[in-house]
Amino acid sequence: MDIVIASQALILGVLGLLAGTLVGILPGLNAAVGIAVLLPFTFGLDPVVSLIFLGAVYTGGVYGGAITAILINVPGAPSNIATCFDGHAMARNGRAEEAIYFATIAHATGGVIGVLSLLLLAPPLGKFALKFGPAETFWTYIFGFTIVASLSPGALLKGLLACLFGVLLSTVGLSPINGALRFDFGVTQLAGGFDIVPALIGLFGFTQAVLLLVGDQKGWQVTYLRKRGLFFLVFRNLYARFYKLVLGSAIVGLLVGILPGAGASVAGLLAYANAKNMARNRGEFGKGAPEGVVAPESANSACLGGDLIPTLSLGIPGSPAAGVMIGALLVHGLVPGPSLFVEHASIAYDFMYGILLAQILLIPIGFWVARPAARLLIIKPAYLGSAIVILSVFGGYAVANSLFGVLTMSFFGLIGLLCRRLDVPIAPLVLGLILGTGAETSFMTSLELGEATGSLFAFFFGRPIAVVLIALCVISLLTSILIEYKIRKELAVSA
Amino acid sequence: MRASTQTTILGLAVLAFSIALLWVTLGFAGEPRDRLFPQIILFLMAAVGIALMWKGASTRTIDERIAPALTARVRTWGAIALFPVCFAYPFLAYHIGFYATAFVFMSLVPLAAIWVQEPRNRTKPLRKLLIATLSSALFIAVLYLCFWIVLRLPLPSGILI
Repeated sequence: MDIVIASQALILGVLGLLAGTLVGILPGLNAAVGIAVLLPFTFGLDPVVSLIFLGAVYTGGVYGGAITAILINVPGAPSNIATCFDGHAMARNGRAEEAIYFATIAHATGGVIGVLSLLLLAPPLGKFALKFGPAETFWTYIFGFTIVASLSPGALLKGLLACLFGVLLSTVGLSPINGALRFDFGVTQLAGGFDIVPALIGLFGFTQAVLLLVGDQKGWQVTYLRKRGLFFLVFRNLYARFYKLVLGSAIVGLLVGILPGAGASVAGLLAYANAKNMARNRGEFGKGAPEGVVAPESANSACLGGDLIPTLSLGIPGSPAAGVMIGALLVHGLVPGPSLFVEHASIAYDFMYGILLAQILLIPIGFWVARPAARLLIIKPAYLGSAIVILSVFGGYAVANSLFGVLTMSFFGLIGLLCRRLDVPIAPLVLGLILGTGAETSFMTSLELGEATGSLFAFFFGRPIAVVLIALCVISLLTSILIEYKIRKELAVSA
Repeated sequence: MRASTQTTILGLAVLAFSIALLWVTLGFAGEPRDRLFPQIILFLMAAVGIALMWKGASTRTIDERIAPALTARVRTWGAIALFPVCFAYPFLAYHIGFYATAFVFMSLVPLAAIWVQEPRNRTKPLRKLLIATLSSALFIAVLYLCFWIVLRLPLPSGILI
């Protein structure tokens, strides 16, 4: 990377961290919304600078929610739910600053572990995936779909519905096989299908903005005092007493992040439960135990690295925010998947090193930004919502320089609102939309090759890697059906 | 509406939607292979629709949860009116001008939302309007700087700016 690009990347990395932290702090907004809304601002930038900026927004967005969770007991994002339990208890006991410092340092440490794992695992996984033929690629996509759909406990059918609907939306436009027009309904602009970036802006940004406008208009007045020397005390304390907890929680977050669609909310809660079970002072959890803040935040941050492993190496997003990052990669002409580490290895590595730097910079930035940023909580949600509506419209236009981008954004905003109201999860829909074309191409290619080899069944179901992937799909579906059955049984018992 | 009833209706809607689109696929130009994948997806969606209907019907006696209505957490009809405003804004922005409509939207819509949702907070309206207008002007100025000067991305001016 030359010196100009490197300095641009550093400046925008810091700005991205700040922007992401501010987005994460505000209730109702999260990393995915931040990346979706800020993505259009990166169109004119160098791809590496753009990706580092958005990666920093992602990093800050995941971290910012911890501050809200600690100060006002409202998680900035679902990933910060577990942080509320002990973080807010510490704040109520006059230890808000200590809790935020624990969260910041644990978050940065877990994040470094996550990104180092990304650097170690993503390239070899990508190279391994180069051995995949069309049948293996197809089953990889199906595995991603089943995992995401099954991670909505009690809503497996709605998760599957969302996924299938996303795949259906991806078939609008020209067929990737023979170029036939499908579902265009006479609209010329639909020949190219739906542009992924306005769709993501609509699903995440516009939807959330409208909900902020029509929801409760409560702001929070929050202040806390800074005590001298406390930061270094917490820093020393964390590494002296809790280093095993940080490492263990980071591993939990990493493994959860690797599963497509699982997301940090699962990681945070799992890490918290694990920390509580293993602690000697189990009774203090929920009353202000620092471990209750350290564990989920370390897991949340490591989850980011885990999310990006399947995202970069296989092109399957590990979380909704990673799905938006795929949109960012596509905008800059980079196709995530096995070929990324072959054709654009330098960009991929620069991006990963950029996120590593962002995780390290989180410590000084978190230290300086947390207290003034907390004052943003006083802003009424209606103003935030209006700003995001405007940014979504600007962004929707900026992608294609046409009204169609804005209309696409509005259409997907409407879909997002309907999904929220009907309790249909959005993550599977995003996954289906992003991966649908790839799934169709690999399916049709496998069909034609299978027919050409004279054994369609063996081509789809007979290859070793494909067999393993099919088994994983079946296991994930059966597991979720079992969980659904247990939930219904509990409902029946309690009724 | 009970959650189980909402699930049943959703299942029925999905089934009807899938059947309608399956009929549309029969009219695609090109080879049968071009419509194969969408048809498979639509068949699967129809199956999920039937499964949702079955789930809704079979849990009716045990799932008494009240599902949030489409207008849940929206207290008044005034707030519901914000929905069409939000969806009309993108269209108006293109034809009237992005910056002009953004200024008006940012100045008036949040005030309207707070006015509707918090009846007790309706004091000093002119002062609040002035603050909203100034904040909006500053926000739009920053956007103009970002898009026109930094990104060099002109947005259509429409009738106005």
